[in-house]
Amino acid sequence: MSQTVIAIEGARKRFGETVALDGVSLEIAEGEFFALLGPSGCGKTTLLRAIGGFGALDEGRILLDGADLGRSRPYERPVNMMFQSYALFPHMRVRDNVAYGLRAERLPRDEVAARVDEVLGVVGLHELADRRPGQLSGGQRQRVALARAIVKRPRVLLLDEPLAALDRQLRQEMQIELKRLQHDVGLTFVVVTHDQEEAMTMADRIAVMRSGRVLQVATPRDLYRRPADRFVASFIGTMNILDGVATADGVRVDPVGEVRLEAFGAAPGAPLAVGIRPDDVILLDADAPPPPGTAFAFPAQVETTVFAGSQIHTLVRDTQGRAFTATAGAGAEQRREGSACVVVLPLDALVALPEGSA
Amino acid sequence: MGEPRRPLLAVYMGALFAFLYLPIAILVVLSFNDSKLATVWRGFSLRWYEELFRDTEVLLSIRTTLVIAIAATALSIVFGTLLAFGIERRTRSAALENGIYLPLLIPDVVTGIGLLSFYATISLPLGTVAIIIAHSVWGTAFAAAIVRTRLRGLDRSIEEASLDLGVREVPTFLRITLPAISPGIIAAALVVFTLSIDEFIIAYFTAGQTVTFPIQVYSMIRFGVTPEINAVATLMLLFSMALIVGAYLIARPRSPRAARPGEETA
Repeated sequence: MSQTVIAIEGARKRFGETVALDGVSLEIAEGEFFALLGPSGCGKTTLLRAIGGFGALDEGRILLDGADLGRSRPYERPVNMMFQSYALFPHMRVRDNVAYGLRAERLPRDEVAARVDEVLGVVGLHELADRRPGQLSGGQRQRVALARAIVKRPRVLLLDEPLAALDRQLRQEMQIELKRLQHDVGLTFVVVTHDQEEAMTMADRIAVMRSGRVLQVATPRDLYRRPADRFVASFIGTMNILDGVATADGVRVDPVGEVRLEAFGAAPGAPLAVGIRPDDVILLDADAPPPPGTAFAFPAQVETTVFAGSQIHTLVRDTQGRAFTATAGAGAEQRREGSACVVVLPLDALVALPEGSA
Repeated sequence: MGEPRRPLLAVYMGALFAFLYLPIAILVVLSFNDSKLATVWRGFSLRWYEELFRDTEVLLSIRTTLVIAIAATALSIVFGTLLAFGIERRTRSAALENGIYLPLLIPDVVTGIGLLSFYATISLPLGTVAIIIAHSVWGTAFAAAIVRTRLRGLDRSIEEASLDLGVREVPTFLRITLPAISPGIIAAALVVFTLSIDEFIIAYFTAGQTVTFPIQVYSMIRFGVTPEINAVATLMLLFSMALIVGAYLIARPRSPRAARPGEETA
């Protein structure tokens, strides 16, 4: 991987009684699209703002290209932020909003004009350059905010819930758009979001945060396939969870059997859950031949099936009352509600899910 | 529709409006009366207005009042704006906040007497300066209240965005914060100005030998209500209304404000 741009070391911050950051360490690489993901109050925005120079840390350091940012002011940092409210200057035209940060650098007039024109082209706002923010739609304002920040060519662009103010359809378009833009301009993006789908779509790597701690930093694929704990597993997509007990080299799930898994240091005998994604769960007819020994298999009954366009979700319940969701492509057969079936959980798709420290 | 007619209610409303507006309407009409007697109509004329503008005492008092009002307004918006920032951003103390607005509720007579003895104690001579100080103190409270409303509606992230884009605190205040709250400041200026030009009680106590416009009118009235007084009153009415309407037009919330999340305008 390429060079580290931002390194966060042992960041701690509290607001009165509330602990916003409880020892966060992270490294963000050059050119990366990095997401801070977590529920509200997890500290992700506090961390982003600390990088931008808004609100100093109580403890720990933030290094930019190896140099401690310390208590430097926002205007002293080669880092720019796109605010959740967009924070456009209401009394300035789009062009002046975008030029504002360049004029602050006292760049020659024609260079300012050229760079503003260029960036307005990148975000497709040429025709609206003379409008005021009040005359723009939400999506257009978002582009102005983006243009105003990237025109500064920051070392890192910080985006605070960049898509939260948009409606659903526009949000999905902008996810792809933002990703493309990041690729084209070649900047390092750090985005804060509470929307796991948004993070999964856009980010190269995601840090999942909860209660001021980072639970896991991984690519979207690894986060989905190898969640570090139960919280991450259920926060990223859906996960079927079975309660089990840690053994010497795996997890025993009663009554279906035992599986060898990395137990993350859980002591033998301690409770340890295992999880499996709905798309890894296989459903067989009740009279089908039993699967080979590389899977858990047990009888169950179909409760509901949901046809969701490209996929079919089937909710089944086993004889012990445990519910499982199985997701198959739309081509799969839709099982009749109330019919009997066999649930097959391939062992290699099971992951151990410790409760997590947070 | 379907509401039963209530004749008594109509009479009551009619009487109320009559007592509210009829005296003023009569006053305005009589100011254009060509008669020496203030109560008998003889024909349209502007002679009382002409006479008014030839009356040096009246003109001098208008000048004094304008000097006081302009000075008091300038001081009030500077201190009032600073105060608004202080209350809004530097303290959560309700006592401090109320302590600032309380002077607005104290009877003017009490303020007048208080200032009179206070000025005597600190040996400040009565007159124009004394009135300017009195009006400024009271205008500062008004201005703080008005500017603060505007400040509260301000999206602070626009100030942060300015810092983030490389502009320091003071230029950020001048280029971003001030334009954003300027409607509040202008409205405050108009209100303080209006209040100052027709303030009588406090001015009367602290004026000494100085004659402000309201004091001048008061002394004219002692010889009875002349048509000239009607003309004076009409002009004042017009002027105050213009200022108040101006203040309203500037201060009312308009649509192109700070971007609000989720709002679609196009």
